[in-house]
Amino acid sequence: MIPHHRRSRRRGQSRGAVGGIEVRGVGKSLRGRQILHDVDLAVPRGTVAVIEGDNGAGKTTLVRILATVVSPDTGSALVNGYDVVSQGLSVRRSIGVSFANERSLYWRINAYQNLELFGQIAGLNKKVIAVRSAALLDELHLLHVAEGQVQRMSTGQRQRLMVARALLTDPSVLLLDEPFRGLDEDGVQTLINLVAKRVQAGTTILIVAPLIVAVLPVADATYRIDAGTVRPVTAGQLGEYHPEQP
Amino acid sequence: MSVLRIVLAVAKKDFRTAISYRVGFVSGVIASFWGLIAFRFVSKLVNTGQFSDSTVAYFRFTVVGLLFASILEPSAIGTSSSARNEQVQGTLEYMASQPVRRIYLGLSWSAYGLLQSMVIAVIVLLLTIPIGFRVTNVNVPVVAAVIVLSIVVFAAVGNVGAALVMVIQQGSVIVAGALSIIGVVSGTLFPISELPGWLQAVSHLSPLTYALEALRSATLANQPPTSFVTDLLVLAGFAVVLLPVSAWVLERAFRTAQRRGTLSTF
Repeated sequence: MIPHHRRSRRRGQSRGAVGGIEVRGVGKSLRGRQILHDVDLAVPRGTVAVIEGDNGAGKTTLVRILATVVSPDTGSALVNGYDVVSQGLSVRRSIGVSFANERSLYWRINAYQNLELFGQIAGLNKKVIAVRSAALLDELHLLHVAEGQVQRMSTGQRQRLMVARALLTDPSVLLLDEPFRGLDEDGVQTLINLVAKRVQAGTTILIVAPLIVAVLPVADATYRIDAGTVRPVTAGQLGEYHPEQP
Repeated sequence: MSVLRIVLAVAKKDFRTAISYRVGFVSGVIASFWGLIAFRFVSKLVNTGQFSDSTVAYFRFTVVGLLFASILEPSAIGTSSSARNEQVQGTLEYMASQPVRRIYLGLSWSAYGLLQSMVIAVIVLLLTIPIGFRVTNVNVPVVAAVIVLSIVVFAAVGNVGAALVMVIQQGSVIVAGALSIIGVVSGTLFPISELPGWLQAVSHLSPLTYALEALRSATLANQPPTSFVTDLLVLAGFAVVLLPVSAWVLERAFRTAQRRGTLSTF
């Protein structure tokens, strides 16, 4: 099935020639349960794809596979042209990821220090880290809480900090797992604006969430995942799509 | 070097976390010094064999053994403890998604603990001087070489411990158990000449035996430089073999956890 592309953006830019995300026939079982079945997904370079799915549908497992922290049992997945199993390090150099886990931050240090740590791990120099950290924290409206320990932040603030961390290396592929969790209306709009800006700059973005209505204005392709199977759907079908429907 | 950059970055984070709790460093100094005071009194009772010259000879022997072991402990146990902490806190999976080789993560996990233990060891060493600790004609290059090579060897042990954490969620207990055995057979608290013959043979399989032998000769016994060569070569051999093997084991453990999907579980 052909994914539903809402519109063509960035005329003249090659889409999907090299880069982006390509998933072919990926399957994964965990603890005896089949999580993903024969998943196919193509997210051309410089586009936004969003996947909606209920809790336990397999969204997070798919993101984890693309982030190389879970390996697929069957099929293959390429991120930015690199195979997630045999070229994991190259994949990790291409991506920025925000897992749906606020405990992935270090809670007893502050936001700047979290960003500094991951910037240094990624090989950025101090000046670049400082400039990008300040810009991202400003863009995500976190400057006023950035010097306090992460444990004193609200869930929504931590959520935005995880997105800032994912963007720190200016990745060519951005993976966002439930990025709207805990966000208020302003937070959602801030994040949508950020996604729009990044995709205009050529970043490939995959967003997975239980409800994706908010992000539809910036989505190039929309999918629904049910019981580990990913299907392209139109915006009108989201939230009411059932696999047994024709 | 990217490995040094990553090790320092993680050590800085661990330092910031440690000072947010404040009392850990001071209690480490007190605990280490108090343990050595006990051996100062024990040394008054030990006046046989190589310790028959003075009432502080055994004390000096144990200071070198225990402080050196306290430096190495974070390299070995600290790595698996940190890996386990990352696992339980929920940061392990994110760390695994970073653009670095997994062996660099393994090495970085023990860095702050190692630096802290070295600082504590120096402070405690100074505190033991008023109660009888002395060194004679310290061979500084040999001491430095022994410390560096031993840290590499025990970092490799730590990587294997971290690999166990990835696969079975336990590592520190197993490494601590192995270290307690190594400590006994390697002469931390008494000369290996006091061990039965078969245990003396076992002691020669332990890198700590060679490290302590060279270290005591270089600090307490006023030995010529040639007397350290064999011990240093054996220690270097352990380092050259164990570090790449441990890197391979840790990478395999990460891949096993990826296959099982357990990097985010504990």
